[in-house]
Amino acid sequence: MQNPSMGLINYIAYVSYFSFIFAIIVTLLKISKYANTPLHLRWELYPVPSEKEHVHGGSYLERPEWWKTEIKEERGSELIDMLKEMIFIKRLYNNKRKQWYFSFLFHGGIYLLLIWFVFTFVGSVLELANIASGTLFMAFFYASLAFGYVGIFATFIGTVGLIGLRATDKRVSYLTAPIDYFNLAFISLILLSMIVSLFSDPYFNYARSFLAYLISGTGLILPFKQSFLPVTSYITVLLLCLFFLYLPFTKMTHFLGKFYTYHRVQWDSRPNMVAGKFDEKKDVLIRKNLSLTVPWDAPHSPKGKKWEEL
Amino acid sequence: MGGIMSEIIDPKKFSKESREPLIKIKLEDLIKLEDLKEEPPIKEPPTAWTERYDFTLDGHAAVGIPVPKNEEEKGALVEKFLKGLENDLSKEGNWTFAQQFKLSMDYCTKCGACEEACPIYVASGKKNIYSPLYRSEILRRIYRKHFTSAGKLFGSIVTGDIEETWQLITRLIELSYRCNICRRCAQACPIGIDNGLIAREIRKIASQELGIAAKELHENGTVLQLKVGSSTGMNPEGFKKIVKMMEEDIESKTGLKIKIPVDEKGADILLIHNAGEYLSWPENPEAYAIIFEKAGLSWTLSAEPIGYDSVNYGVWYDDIQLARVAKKHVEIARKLGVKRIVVGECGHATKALVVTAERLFTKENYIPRESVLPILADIVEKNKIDVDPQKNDFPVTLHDPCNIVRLSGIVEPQRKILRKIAPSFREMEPHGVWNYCCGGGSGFAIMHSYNFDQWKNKVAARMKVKQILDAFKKELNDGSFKYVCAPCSNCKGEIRDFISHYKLWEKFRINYGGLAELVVNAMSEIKNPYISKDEFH
Repeated sequence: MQNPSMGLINYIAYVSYFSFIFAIIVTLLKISKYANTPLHLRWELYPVPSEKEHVHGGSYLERPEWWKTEIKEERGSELIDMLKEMIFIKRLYNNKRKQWYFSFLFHGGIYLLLIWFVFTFVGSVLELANIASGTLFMAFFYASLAFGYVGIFATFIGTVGLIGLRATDKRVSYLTAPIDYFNLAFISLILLSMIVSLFSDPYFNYARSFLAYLISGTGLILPFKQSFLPVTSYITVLLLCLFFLYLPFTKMTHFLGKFYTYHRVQWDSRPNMVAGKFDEKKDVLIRKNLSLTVPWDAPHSPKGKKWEEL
Repeated sequence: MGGIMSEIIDPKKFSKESREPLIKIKLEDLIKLEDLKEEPPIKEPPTAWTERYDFTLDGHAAVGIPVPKNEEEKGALVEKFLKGLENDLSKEGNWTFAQQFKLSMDYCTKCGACEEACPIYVASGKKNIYSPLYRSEILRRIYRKHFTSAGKLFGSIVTGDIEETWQLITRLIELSYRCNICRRCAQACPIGIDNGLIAREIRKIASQELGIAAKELHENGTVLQLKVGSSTGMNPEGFKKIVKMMEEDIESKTGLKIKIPVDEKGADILLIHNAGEYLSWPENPEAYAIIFEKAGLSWTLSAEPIGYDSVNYGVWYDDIQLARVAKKHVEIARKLGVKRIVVGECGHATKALVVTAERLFTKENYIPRESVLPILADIVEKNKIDVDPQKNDFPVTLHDPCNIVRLSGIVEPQRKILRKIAPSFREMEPHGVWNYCCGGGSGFAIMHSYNFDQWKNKVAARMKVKQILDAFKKELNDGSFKYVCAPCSNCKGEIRDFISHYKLWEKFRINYGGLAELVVNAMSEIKNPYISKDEFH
């Protein structure tokens, strides 16, 4: 018979597997929803960093008879702009500095925690491979300590700061719904739980070994034993599981939305014809759109007809 | 910049029935125009209007929605709006903008980064109802309440307070006409949410489902254009007469005898101007006739209905009308057998036909389309005409039409020209893709119903007025002639309106005009000035 604490850690492990897989599946479904919307009319917004003329905000439309020219997409400058926005949240920095300080701490902290997770994951794999000592392991050990501590506190300060700003900034507080506070409060609760866990797990040893336990398939796939976690760590893991179950349904997945708003809308300036050649794939998609039936009811709307029959 | 934020109108108050406006525009709240000693006062609307039409947003009306007479009419407004929103969220109804609309409905975090980027919000003294965030949030709350599972399950915890009364609907539609759709807000949003698009989608729901739109855009705009050939009401015979007059005008002004080609089959270029140019600023199409002839281009105008008017107001409020007009432009070009369509100095027409409509055309009915500005730059840069920049010896600043720069990425051609032909050219700040709208964007330039002109000049155009005064700061009071170059018909219309409103010509001798006029004014072989320094037009 399994001892009770062994049973509890297994339940927690199963919940962890479920919530993680659930989050991935729902997120993928959400991505497919946006990915499968019809090819829309062009609605780009300059500057478009992939365009050769982006330095002055320009486009290929500055060239006479642009359709006869090659339109090369400069992925390098697109990547630079993307990273500036992803890492530094440049637009917020330029347009709402007060909010940026906390938002940067919050998002930067999350990035650090993701790096912490990667280092801890590597540490877990090394532990599973019975090389939980030596220079390599210690390098990951100390790196995870640094990223973990800074990440936890930066995210926590950022979240609490964002709650405070939202509550006190009259320009946005009156438009804030209870759910907006709840989301931030939920994250700050997870962070608070992580901070409390640091007292019983200051070196992330339990975190690393629990991760190893998960990777080992609770010891069923790879030989590994983990019998218990401190209570505070149980609470943190459970809160994280709840968060994974909740996250895909919220606008906190705006990191996904951001991909589409930038790459598929604001930076999507590619014309149908490049260097004298019509894009055949687009032709198919356009035909498909034009064959849809108009549902609008105003007097001038040709309700029931196809868009191509306007 | 701008005043302290005014009293906040929350969404509850926005939906509450009332005959009083939610806010009033007061001069003391607006951003200061320090160089103006005085400006016309703000007048209240007459009760004959306010009793019949909904003026309860801000005491002004762009659309002028009739106040519903009974409960049935009130209910129908709400019901139809919700049906329209449902269509707008569907693939069939809104394949045109579904992706960007859905993203903008789902992911706004309400950080407010968009607010300071909006010239209307800032110029108004930060009246919260004009914030890009506010207008969108009202629609998002309706969306979450009726079209999301979370909203249906958890109510106002998720949606925030919202009650979709008839009053909310009429105010929201009117509020969608307090946005220039310049999309500066979308440039400022870290997530890429497009609150400008949402303003357009509200207009679209109103137009395509409720049959409510600004009269100048729909009834006197796209409907008239599709019926008689032009939103100006000009028919083909009228157009041909104007072309004759233009030839005479060119000869009397410049001594050049030019035969303007009309319906020349097989020409390389079909040039389509905004028909408003022929009536209000014929010197602009005349300038193009001179330049194109001197540069030896193969070109023609069209006398087919719609073929002589590039405007496409659908781009501001209605996808059906947008598609219909764009389709006609392309059909006419194909019938003429030209190789390309070139859109004259008109921002929204450029964006509508060259950019937005691109994905309405399949391989069979495709024809390349471009703006006239790169062609003009090519002619000037390659010295296909001789110019003497000293002939433009007056201060010149450039207004960047949003549809040309931020929304089409055409930034440098106009500057290359000005650097070559206007020695006193100076930029406004900010400029290029970061410019401010003239205040006439999204149709405002041609909208004059009720007291909308007052709101437009006082609020929407205010930031541009400030920019122009700042650009001419050094010479403002020295009595010299000054030229605001606006390569866009609608921008010119708006600039003409606010120059008159604020008396900038009388006070500072600030005039305005297009780009081609400046080029012809600099042409060596034309002896008399093409631009008059003595009259405001």
